[in-house]
Amino acid sequence: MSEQDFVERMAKFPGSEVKLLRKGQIAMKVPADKGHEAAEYLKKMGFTHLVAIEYVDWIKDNEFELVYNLFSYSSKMRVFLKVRISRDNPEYITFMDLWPVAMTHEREAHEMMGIKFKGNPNLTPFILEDWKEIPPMRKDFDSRKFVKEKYDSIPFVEDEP
Amino acid sequence: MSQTKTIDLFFGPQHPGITGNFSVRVTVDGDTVVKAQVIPGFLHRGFEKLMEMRHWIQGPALICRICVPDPDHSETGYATAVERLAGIEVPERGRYIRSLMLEMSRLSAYLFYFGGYAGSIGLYTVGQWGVGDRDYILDLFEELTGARVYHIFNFPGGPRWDTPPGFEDKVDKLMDFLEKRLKEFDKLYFNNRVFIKRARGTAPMTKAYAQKMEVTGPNARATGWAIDVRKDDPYAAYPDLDFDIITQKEGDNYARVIQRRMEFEQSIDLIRQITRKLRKMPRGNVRVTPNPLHWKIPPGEAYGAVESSKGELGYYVVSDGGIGPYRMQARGPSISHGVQVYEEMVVGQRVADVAALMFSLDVCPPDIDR
Amino acid sequence: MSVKKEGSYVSPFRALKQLVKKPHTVQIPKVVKPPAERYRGFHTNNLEVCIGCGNCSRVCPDNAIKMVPFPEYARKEPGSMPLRPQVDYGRCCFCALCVEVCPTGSLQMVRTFTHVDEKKDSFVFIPDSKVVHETPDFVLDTKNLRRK
Repeated sequence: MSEQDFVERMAKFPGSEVKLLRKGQIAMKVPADKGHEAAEYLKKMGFTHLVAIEYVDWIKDNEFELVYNLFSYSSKMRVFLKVRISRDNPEYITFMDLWPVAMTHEREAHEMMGIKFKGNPNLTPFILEDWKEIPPMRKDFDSRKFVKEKYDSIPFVEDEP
Repeated sequence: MSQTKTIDLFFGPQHPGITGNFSVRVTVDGDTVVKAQVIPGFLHRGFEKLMEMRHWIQGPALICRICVPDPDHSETGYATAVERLAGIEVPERGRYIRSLMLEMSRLSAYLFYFGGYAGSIGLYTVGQWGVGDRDYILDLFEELTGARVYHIFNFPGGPRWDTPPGFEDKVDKLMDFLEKRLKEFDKLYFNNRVFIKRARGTAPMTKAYAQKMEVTGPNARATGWAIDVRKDDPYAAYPDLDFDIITQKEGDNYARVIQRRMEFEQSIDLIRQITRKLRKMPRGNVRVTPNPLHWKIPPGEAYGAVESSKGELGYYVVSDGGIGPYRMQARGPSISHGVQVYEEMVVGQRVADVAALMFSLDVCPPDIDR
Repeated sequence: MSVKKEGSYVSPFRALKQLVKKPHTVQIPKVVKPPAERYRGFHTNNLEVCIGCGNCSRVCPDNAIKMVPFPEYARKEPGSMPLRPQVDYGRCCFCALCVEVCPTGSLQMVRTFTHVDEKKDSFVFIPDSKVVHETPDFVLDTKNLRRK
């Protein structure tokens, strides 16, 4: 099957917005409530390998974007399945039933972006220790301010006389 | 049935049997592990956040530090993603030099790996040999890039410089030496009865399990699953090179070590192919990078993956049209086989195999923590 | 690879013949291995040629370069500034991006990489053409480094 065939087949999924980015990489945007259904649809098409769950903070739109990076070993194609969720109450459903390893990726997204995944039993602290600030990968987390407060003894280059 | 008493043991982060800054909390019943929980995060440096404050060109100086024994794959993964995003085509000679570096990096990482696993079962000589031979590879890296460990060499757009005169001959000479050494390694290590007795049949992973848990790289190939990013999603000069995917069948510790040993031989062969091509090619044009200070990339996203010595290492890069990445996320290979897979596989093993299993899976904690 | 099914207890002892071989290491300090031609060590800067544009300071990933005022180099050429780069070697990661973007080619890297001192401040200095060289014959070849 060619890339165009894949794009056409994905476009048949209700509510999807499909774009061929470059050779071998397709972006597919679906509404948040159709995410799990779309993932199942793609898995049946051969996209069996969940490479990673990427999370992007689009602070201007007040939205988080979850990108499920899927790869198909049979057709050597990659698809970015994108869903957008609101920043105010970031909550989504787990994909653990489709890919068990999603547990670790969701655990990371929960810690770094503060997204709760309903159905994931293991959203415990992962990499960070004793974290009390807002999740660090959010765009409104000021890492310079954090460093200044936590490690005040080392001045920045700009602050030196 | 009598009540059994279990004890919690902390392996790491200062345990010599742990691959770097990592910790495992194992619950043991007598000598057998009944539960394990990994504790990553000792090496979290926030690279993904730091990248958001940097220019496109400044990336390689930072992210080569993601995986310490194998830095070139990190650089190239990032460079591949940025090139795909910006639509840059690397000149042919640049692609070949990049592949040469990657294979040399793989060799040096595997030499570490041999020593690591051998050390965990008490064969310390292998580690000393491995580190000693690795230094000759580092010497060549120094000659090519100007640095020994963190080369900061594979930029988006191509490698920084052409090879110095006579470099190909030196590489070939080293490959002859390593091939000879590999025979000695065979005698000392791979044919050693102690190694075979300890490794064969320990912690087997089936192909179905590897597919279910998204295991990549040599660990997946050791189970008989023929996947390789170099073939599946080609980058650098790999589409032009002639090689087959090597697989093993059993998927146990023994197969995983032998898998790497076979790939070591394959890498030597690939390097010879590359140097043969490099000699025939006109010198000079290796890199196309726009003016680094005013380099903007149109909005979009791209993913670039490389087959590192541990598995699929990928970078997801998002641009909003600015001078640097809006978001950069690394997909370390150990995120699958270092956390969930390890936690499940170590159950039922002896305490003495906790470290051995970690070494045989080649868990690289820095790429979990980033 | 010739793998025997059961392995051997004897073959590892062949490693003993390494005892009569020469060591891999060199005997420091009697023998010193010189760094490679391209080795990236300390900076050297020709202060007369440098125009103080500050590109090196802007491209530095570690904020290691600070432009300090040098009133005696005030010239009227366009783009020329009475500033010269000062490098903090506590921050420098020796990536040579500054060398790469230098428009005049005055900023270079030498092979020398050792500097031992008790005082922290001595690691922050303004590189000039006199920077400690053990091997003054070599500076990084910038022909291939030029930006497009």
